[in-house]
Amino acid sequence: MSTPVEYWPFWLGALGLTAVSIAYYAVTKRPLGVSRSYDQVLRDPRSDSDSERLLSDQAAMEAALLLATQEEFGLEIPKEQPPDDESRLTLPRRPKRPPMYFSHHLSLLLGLLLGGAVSASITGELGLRWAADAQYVRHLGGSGAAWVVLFLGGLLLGFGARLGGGCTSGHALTGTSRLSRTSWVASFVLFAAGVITSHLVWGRSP
Amino acid sequence: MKRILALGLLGACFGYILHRVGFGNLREVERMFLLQSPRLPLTLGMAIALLIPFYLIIRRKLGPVQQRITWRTIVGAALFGTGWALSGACPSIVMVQLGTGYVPGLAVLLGILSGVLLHRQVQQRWLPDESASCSE
Repeated sequence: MSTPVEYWPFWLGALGLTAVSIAYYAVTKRPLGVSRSYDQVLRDPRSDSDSERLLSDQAAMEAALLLATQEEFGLEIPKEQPPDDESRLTLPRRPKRPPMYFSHHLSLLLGLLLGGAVSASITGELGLRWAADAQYVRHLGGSGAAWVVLFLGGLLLGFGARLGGGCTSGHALTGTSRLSRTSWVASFVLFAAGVITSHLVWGRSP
Repeated sequence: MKRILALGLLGACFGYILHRVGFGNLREVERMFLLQSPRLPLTLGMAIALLIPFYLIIRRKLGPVQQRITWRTIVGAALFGTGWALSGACPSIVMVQLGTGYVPGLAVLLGILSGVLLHRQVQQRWLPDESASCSE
C-alpha cells in the first residue's frame, strides 16, 4: 500500500547516486553498470569471464584490443603488421584493473536487496506483499495477468539491456556522464519508450 | 574477500538511496513516465551534472568510451524503456523491490534473467558478429 512516504528531495538523491558511482569506481576501477552483473552472474562461475581468459592469453588479448580499437575509433588497421614488436606497444591498452568475479557481481546484487530492506524497514514499508500493485489489478483485471505483464516487462528489460549495451545505471547515469554519444541516444530512446508505453498502458483513466 | 564485502556494502547503499528517492515505488516511476513529477528525472539529471567532471578527471584511467550508435542501441533501449514502464522496475530496482518484500518482483527478476539468457542465445545463433559491442 502506498502510505504517504516522504521521499528524498532530488538533490539529496543526486548526491547519493554520485557518491555510489564514485565508490563503485574506487572499488572496481570500472564505470558503474548493473546489467553487467546480471550477465556475469549467469555465467558459469568456474569459467571466469571472457576478459579474464583474455588476460591470460596474450595473443587473444592483442587481437581483441586491435578489434576494440578499430571499433571505437573506426581506424584502418594495416593488414600487415610491421615485423618489430615495438609497434604493437603503441596500441592504447585498457588500464590494468582488478578482476571481477561471480562473487563480486552477486554481492552487489544482494547488497541492493539488503539496501531496499533497510530503507523499507525505516519507512515502514517492509513486509511480504504477495499481490501485484493495485494499478496492475485495476488496469489488467486479475492478479494473474499482472504477473504475466511483470514477467514480460522483465524479459524486455534483460534482453534490451544486453542488446543495447547497458541499462539505467550503465547508460542513463554513467554513460551520459562519460559523454558517450551512444548512451545519450540510448537514454533518450529509453525514456521516450517509457513515456509512450506508460501513456498507452497506465495513462488511461481506470 | 574485502572487495566482495565492499561491493555488498556499496550495493546496499545504492539500494537504500534508490528506495529513499522513490525509484523503487511503482507509483513514482509511473508519475515520472506520465510526466507528472519531475523529481526522478531531476535526480538523474543532477547526478549526471555532478559526475561529468569526475569522469573527465579519470577518463584516461577508464579507456575509450563507446561512441558508436547502431540499431542495437536504438532497439535495445526501446525494448528496455518499454520493459521499465511495464514492470515499474529496472535491473537495480527489482532487487530493491524484492528487498522490501514485494513478491511479484520475482516475476520481473525471472524475466530479466530469461531476457539476458535469451539475448545470449540470439546473439550466438543469429548475430555472431559484433559480439564485442556490449559493454565489457
